[in-house]
Amino acid sequence: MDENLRILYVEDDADIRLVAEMALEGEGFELVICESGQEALNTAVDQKPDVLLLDVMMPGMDGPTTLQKLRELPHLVTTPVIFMTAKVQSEEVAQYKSMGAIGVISKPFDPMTLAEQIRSLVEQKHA
Amino acid sequence: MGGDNHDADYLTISTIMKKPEIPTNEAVRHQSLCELAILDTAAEARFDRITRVAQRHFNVPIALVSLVDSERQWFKSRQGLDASETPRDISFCGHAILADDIFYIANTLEDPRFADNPLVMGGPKIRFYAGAPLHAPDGQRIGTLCIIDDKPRTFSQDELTVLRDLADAVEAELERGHLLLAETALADNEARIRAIVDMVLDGIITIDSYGRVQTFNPAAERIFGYVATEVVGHNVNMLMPAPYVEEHDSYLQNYLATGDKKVIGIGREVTGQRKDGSTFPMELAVSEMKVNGDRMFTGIVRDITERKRIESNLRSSENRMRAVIDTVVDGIITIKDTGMIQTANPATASIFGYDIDEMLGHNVNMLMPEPYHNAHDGYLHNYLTTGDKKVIGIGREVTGLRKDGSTFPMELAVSEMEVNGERMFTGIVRDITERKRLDLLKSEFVSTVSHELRTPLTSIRGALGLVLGKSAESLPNSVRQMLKMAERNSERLTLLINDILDLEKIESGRLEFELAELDLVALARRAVEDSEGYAHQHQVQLCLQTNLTTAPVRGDTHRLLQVFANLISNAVKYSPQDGTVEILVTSNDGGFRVAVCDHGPGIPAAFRSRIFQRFAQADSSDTREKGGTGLGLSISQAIIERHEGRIGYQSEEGEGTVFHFDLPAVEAVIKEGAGNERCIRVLICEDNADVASILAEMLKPEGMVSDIAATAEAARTLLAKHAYRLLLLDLTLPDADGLQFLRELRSVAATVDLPVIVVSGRAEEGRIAFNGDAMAVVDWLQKPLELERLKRALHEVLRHNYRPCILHVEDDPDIIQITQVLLEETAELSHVATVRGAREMLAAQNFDLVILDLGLADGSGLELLDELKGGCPVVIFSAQIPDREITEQVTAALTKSMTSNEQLLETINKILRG
Repeated sequence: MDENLRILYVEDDADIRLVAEMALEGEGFELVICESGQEALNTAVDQKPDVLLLDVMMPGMDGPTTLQKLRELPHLVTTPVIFMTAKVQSEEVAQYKSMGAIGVISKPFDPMTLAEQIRSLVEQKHA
Repeated sequence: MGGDNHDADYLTISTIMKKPEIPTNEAVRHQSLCELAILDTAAEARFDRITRVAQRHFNVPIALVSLVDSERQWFKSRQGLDASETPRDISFCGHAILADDIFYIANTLEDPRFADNPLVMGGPKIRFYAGAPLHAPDGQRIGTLCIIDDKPRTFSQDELTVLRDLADAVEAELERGHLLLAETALADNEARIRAIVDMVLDGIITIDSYGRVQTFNPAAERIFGYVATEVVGHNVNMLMPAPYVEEHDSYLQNYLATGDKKVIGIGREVTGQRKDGSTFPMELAVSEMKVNGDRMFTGIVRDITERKRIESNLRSSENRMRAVIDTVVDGIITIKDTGMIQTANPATASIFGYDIDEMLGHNVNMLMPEPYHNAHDGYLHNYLTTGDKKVIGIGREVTGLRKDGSTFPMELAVSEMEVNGERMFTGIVRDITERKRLDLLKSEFVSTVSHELRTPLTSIRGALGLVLGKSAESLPNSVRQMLKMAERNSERLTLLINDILDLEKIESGRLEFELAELDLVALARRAVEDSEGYAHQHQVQLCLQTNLTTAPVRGDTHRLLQVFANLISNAVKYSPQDGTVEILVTSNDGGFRVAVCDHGPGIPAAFRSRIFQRFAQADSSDTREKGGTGLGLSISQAIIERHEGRIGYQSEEGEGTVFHFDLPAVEAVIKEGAGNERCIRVLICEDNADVASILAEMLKPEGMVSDIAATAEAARTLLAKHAYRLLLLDLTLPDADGLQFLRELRSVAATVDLPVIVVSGRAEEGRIAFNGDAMAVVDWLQKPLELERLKRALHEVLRHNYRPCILHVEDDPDIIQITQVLLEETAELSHVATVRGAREMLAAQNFDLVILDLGLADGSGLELLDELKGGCPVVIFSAQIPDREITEQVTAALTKSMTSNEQLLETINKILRG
């Protein structure tokens, strides 16, 4: 991909946000980082990301709810979504998939391969 | 006398002779004779004395005691005659027994009855005969005492009296013999009875009407410990303990006075008392008899101590069991093979909210909600006829139905037994509502805790990873070592959390399995690919070897991959550098074996007994070097066992280790229902065979034939083979995600419109995920399934998704276009312009309706009416007005110029709706 991949990244934990940010820095991504689902909804109105990268457990509004709300925005109806979560019991993963997630990245993730993981999930989707 | 070899004279004369008549009561008479048992016995002095006296007294040459047998007269005693018998038909005695008086012939030559008798004509030349009838004790005349002379003579009254007296003496002798005989018989009989009485196991005691013991048999002696002489003559109440002792006499008195029977009868249980004073339970049967006019009683006594002991043991064991069953918290019910509830314990009543009486005699399906309610009889029937166990087994989780209509999760264990040759089933029911609630809490707790643990770990691992990944070069070596240690341990901690989660599930029995049919070869390939990276890190080669193309087993993909990963990573860990790990898949005794072989140091013998234990590692000093939590094999074992498989290993120290697991093979994944081309064919895509067959049963009454596919792949095969009217789809399929499969179906032309009803435990979730997605899903049905809702959905499908086919026979293109526009909403239209074309179409395809124009290029549409008769409805739509005769043959007849579009549409809709 020639252009940078625009990612709307929602994560409530500041440390993890920082790690992810650093991990993706310089790997050909453009990150829009939000600290909560609500902030994501506000921000997304005038953003057109290529991928949604959502934490699942967040105070206030969890990842799946955030996704549902984001989907109500016409320009985000088909945007691919990846969940990033520590809740990776098999039935949980299946549930994310059934919500249309193109992939699930389990926490803790490997920062050195995070960029690659995201890129390959997106490519799979487009293939 | 009168043998058979007589001369011609005798023969001539014998035609005149009078034979003695046979008495009318001959049979009875003969019977009386036989009962004396005297015929053909030896001569006896007591009779010979009498005949000798007669011979001398009357001064005759011959005196006989003659007994008239059926064909002869036989002489018990004879004087002056050698023959012991003569034929009855030439006998004089045969005549003499016809009357009670003495029969005498003074001169035989003057009597036409005897003049030519061979005994008269030949020896002993009888001229005179006198015979006094002899009576048996019962009065029958059985013979005579007779005297014979060879000269005629007359007989005075006095002589007649003497002969009669002598005959009476003979009769007395006969009677005495008879009595002797009877006495002998009686003595024999008594000996027999005595033998029986002495031999029987039951005590037999006779008493007189005063209660005194008359007889006391050996069995009675054994039972009571007395010898007969100690008892006979004493009151029978010596054999009874108080209070019967006093009562017995009054019983007897009472009975003798009033006939009120307190004792007489069969099989009363009473208490007996032995000589030593001990008492015992006995069964007593008393009967009454009369002997010589005296009333006697016979008592038959059986010691039932042993029987009572067994009964009492049984009773107390039954009481114990009953107490257990009545107080146990689990519901226990027994049902007959008809499904009828036979017993239910109090816990069952409280679990289901019924009184016990409300359940007994009812079908056990009253305790089940749909669809089990209806399916249960089928299960039972199926089991009884085929032995296919759908219900029997331990610990299935099912749904129960309370009296108030509410449902609850319960655990059900059913076992089968035979009682008195009848097949019965016992069900043990446990309400697991609370357990389910706790499970949910626990599951949520574990999920939350794992999240809380992972969140900080994510930052730690991430931060370390970034430092080491991006700026390792700029760090001093010692710092880099420390950071690497921290990173390694953060990874270990992650693995540990994952394993602890699994372990928690194993311990709570909640390790969830989504069992489905899958290919073990493909799974092994995938597992090897997944582990390639890890092996590479350790510089170990992975090598998959198999001769099999597929190895169908039933299993949970994710869990089996976990086992593969565990065994492969163990093998890699313990392989020498540049070593090889072989993964073999072979078929093995009704199943398949996966073996993972390494060429490492082998398992130390001392460690082998603990190998599957938790947190077990061969060498704890190795731990850091080898990594791992020590939980892997324990988890793998639990997973394989839940797959009804076995896990094991062989190891040789210094040679290497082979870990293997065996899984049973499964049968085909496709079941096709029987049905012809015209039936409503439905595809059920569901990997749980039980659920699939319940669904198929539910569809049957709707007139649908079901094919069952256990996998998405099988469904694809079947979809290519048959035209289905409906697909029932489970979302959790072994080889595909149900929703993705649904998307796939929608992207293929053949199935783009196929009506789908989703039946799944994940139906709600799927519905939400698909919200707004324009895919024709008729309904999303959540398991457990509501039968009514399924039925509604089915009817929806049948109503909306069936497009009737109409053949329009018409040559005017404008009319064709109008009807096409009018009807395209409701039906599939086919057009044809000629009679011949119509014939071809009708032969090739079934139509639900034919619209017929009459004036066609190659003839009249009427020509088709005969062929269509009895087939589909016909609407004539023509410019001509057909004859009444014609209109009576069709469903409707419309005239083009006189019919509005609405009328045409309405008519056709009405017919199609039927």
